[in-house]
Amino acid sequence: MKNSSFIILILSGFLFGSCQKVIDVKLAAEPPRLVVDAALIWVKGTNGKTQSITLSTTSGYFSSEIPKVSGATVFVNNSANTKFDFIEESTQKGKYTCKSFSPVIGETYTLTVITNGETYKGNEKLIASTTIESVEQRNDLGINSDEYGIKTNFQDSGAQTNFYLLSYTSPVSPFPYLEVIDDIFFQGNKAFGLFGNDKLKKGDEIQIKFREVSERYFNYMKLLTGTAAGGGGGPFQPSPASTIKGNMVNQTNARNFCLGYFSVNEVDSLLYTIK
Amino acid sequence: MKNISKKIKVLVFTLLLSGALCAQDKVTISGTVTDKITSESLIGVSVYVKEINSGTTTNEYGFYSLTLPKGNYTLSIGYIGYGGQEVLVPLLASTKKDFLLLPNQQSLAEVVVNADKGIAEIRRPEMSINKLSARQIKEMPVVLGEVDVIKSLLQLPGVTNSGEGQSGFNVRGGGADQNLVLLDEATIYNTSHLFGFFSVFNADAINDIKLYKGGIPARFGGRLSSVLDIYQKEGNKNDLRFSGGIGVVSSRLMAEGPINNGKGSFLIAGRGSYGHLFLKLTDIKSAANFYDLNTKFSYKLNKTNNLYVSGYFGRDNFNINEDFSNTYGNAVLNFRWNKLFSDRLFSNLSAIYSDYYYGLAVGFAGLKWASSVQNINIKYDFKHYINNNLKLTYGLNAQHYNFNPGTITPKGNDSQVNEDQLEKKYALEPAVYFDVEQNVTKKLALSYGLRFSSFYRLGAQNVFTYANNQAVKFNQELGIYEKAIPTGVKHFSTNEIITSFNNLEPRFALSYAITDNHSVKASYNRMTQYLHLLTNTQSPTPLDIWAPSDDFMKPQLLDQVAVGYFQNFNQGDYALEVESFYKKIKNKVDYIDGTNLIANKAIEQAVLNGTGRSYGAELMLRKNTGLVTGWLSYTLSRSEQKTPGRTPLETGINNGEWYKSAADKLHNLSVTANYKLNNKWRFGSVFTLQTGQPVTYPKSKYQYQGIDIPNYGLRNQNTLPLYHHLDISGTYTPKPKRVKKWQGEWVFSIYNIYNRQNAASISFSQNVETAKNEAKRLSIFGAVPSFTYNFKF
Repeated sequence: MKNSSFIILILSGFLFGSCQKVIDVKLAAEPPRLVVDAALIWVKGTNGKTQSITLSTTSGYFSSEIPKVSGATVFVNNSANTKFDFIEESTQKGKYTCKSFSPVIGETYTLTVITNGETYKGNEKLIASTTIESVEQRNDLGINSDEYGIKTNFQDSGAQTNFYLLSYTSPVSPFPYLEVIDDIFFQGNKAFGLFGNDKLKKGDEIQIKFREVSERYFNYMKLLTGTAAGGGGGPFQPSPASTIKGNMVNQTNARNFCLGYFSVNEVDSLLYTIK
Repeated sequence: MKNISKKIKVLVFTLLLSGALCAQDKVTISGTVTDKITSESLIGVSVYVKEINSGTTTNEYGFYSLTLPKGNYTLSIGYIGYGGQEVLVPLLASTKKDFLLLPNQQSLAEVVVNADKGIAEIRRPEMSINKLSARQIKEMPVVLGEVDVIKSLLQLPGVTNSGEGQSGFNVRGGGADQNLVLLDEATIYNTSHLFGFFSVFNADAINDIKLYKGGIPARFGGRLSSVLDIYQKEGNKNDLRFSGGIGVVSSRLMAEGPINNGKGSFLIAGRGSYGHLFLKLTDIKSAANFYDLNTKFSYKLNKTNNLYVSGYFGRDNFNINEDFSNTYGNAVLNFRWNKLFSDRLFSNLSAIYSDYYYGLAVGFAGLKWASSVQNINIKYDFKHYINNNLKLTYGLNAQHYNFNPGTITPKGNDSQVNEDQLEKKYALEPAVYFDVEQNVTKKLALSYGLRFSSFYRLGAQNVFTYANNQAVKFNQELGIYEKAIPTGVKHFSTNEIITSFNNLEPRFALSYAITDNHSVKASYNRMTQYLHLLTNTQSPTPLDIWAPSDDFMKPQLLDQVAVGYFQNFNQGDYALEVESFYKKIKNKVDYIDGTNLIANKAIEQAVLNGTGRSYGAELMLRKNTGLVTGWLSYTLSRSEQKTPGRTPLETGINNGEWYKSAADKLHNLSVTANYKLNNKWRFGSVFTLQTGQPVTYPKSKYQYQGIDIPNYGLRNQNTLPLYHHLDISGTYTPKPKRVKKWQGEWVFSIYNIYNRQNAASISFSQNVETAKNEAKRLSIFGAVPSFTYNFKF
């Protein structure tokens, strides 16, 4: 027995000699499709007047370019039919900005995008969000419990099912980390989000954006984040998704659907510096 | 129902008629066939009567019965791996005759290499069936030297799996949950250790393995694609013997011996992996281990009564850094009583308990989750040897199920998780069946049968109700499926029937022997499956929850036709089997996008019923004699599924178009060869080549909120790169002639000898440092050398 244990020790290095390698894969191409990146956020304590929407198209998976869509007509209406125009910025193609938006809790907004002779519409209700109660610094995160990071605590409301979206922007990652949470396991209790990274160090600043979202947007973001992560699976991941459809509907030609989502949310924002 | 009563009338009539015929001057010879060394029963031994060119085989308990006109007969007894016998029997009155066969290793193996003769079955209407002996399985080279029943099945035509480290197996394009896996008649719900790296069966404890891919007899039911019928060894009735092995992954020990001077026997076999088996899938600190225990007791009460008790218990534990852990396993307990009512009527009564447990504990979420299925099965089966040309099998059984879809408990003191129990589900599945095996003429043999199965969903349960009885609704504006909001809850009290299903399952097969050496066969079978395995495949910790059919998840139905050609060449030196099949499945479960399976209180809100089909051709060519033996198997097949919209306005899943199912493999080739160099050295090799798994690659990408999202097209339009590997093994027996005392052997093997980096998956995501999109291939096994030491004493 002793001998064989010893051998196992030696062999274990290449026993499960599995490896992950970046490879070239030839992918089929498809014609570009409109993408509406319209997540309006009203940060608590601000007037929320300035909002931006980005229009782009899909492109080849390995291409580093994000083709922008210029010259579109973009506006948002509230239920009283007040119109908020989003004007394309001269310096940033495809970015449409409104400086006079008026966010009101409980109000339903409709986004209209007109481009290439086709009109897309989508609507979303602005719901109130709870706030971040506290942020704890941790050193036991990650799969090996050895990563620095933060635990963002908040109180879930027991009155109904709630859905949350957290985004973390930090110097250790070139793109934001998005986390979706529902209260299925902790209805009415204290809840938390986790963000850890093995490269975080003292002095790093993490921008946390916390928002309560609609169930429909939660489902969309859950598919989106799961798909972006490579469909890595795991028991808590949803089954892999094909094309993820959002809430913007092509009124002119339903078959030529667009991607992306129009959301409008109240957001609790906090900057945390790693100690 | 009318149809059934008619069939029963015909059956009774046939019985009476045959009784009348037998009243003439026919007599019966019956008995058992056992291993001479261990006195264990042998299953499927051919008992052939030369004078009439016909015969029978022993049943699962080693029993045979033949009814013949009075006269002198030559009985030829033959069995894979055993020396044959030919006996002259003067048959004037009904006689009991038992046969004892000597294993080849102990006979004259050094002179004539005439081992495992895998000759094709010519006369019996039996097709789409593969048999493997424990010895054949043990001679195949396997990864890490761990003898693996399931992996050896993959070398047979029509059988594949999803690749390394994937659990279960797929038969003729069917799902891994569509196999009825029976260990001593008890259902095994999960066949894999360590998520599919190894199988749950300890080959030491196994006597006989039979895989039914089609033409499935009516005595089996409840799964669509196949039946894997495994019988454990009874244990040596003559001597106390020990055997075992030490390998790089696990060690095994088995004890077997007589009880009460050979009236009975026992067998206990244990296997355990070493505690710190590191799964270096990535740089994750993880550990995994498994163990299993097989037991069996048999006891001969008197000449006509035998008792058997068998048990199995296995568990897997997997954890990542003590923070995430996953435990799962099967447990089985089985009592059986064999009774011979007469020399022509054999019966077996079984009471079987089996359960499957699946648990997760997630430290950082403060959550523990457990699910299970428990099952009690009472079975009464009869085998009636009416005469030499007519054999009847009939019986009934009833299974009761208790499903626990999930118990949620907090983990740790500061956990904020609420305790919760998802609604338990109960079901009863009764069935009656009969099967007739009939030789119509010398050349034409038929087997036909009917199974009538029912499924009752029972309370106590609170069941959601929905508008239009639709738990999934289609959002026409957005073109997506969404869960419907329940309109109410209906309470059913204990044992109240919630819903029920009844199905008739006809089975039919015929064989026509053109000559003694070649025949054509055809078969049809209908199967019903009332249980569904909810699973999110391709994940490192596959989730397995079994769920019963209900008003939303309908029972799956399958129709299969198959035709085949069988030929033996050169007195069975070579055998050829060619088959072609077509299968159609109704009510194949498909999930809407974004389904969350864990702790889902209303899984009906996430499933749609679709259809499936698969078709293909299989070829198997065996070389049975000589220094080199082995076989080549090739399968060309397709497996697809479709979930169209329920109304013309709905898109369905995947736009309602056919797409390749996860089990699709266009080409599947396997070459297995064994070479006996001398008495001390034997070599084995297996070459496997198959089309890669169907997958979906992105067609484009887009940016939303600063992250790149791959945009996937229709499902499973791509395939992973070609999958192939060559494995070899060498077995060294230092003292081959030693029978009694310590007998040892060394098995050396190299899996994937040319170090092919087969893709287990290719995933698409953004590089966390450069933000560039990239495709990453995960390969699990490179070349893996290993050795095992096996011993007997």
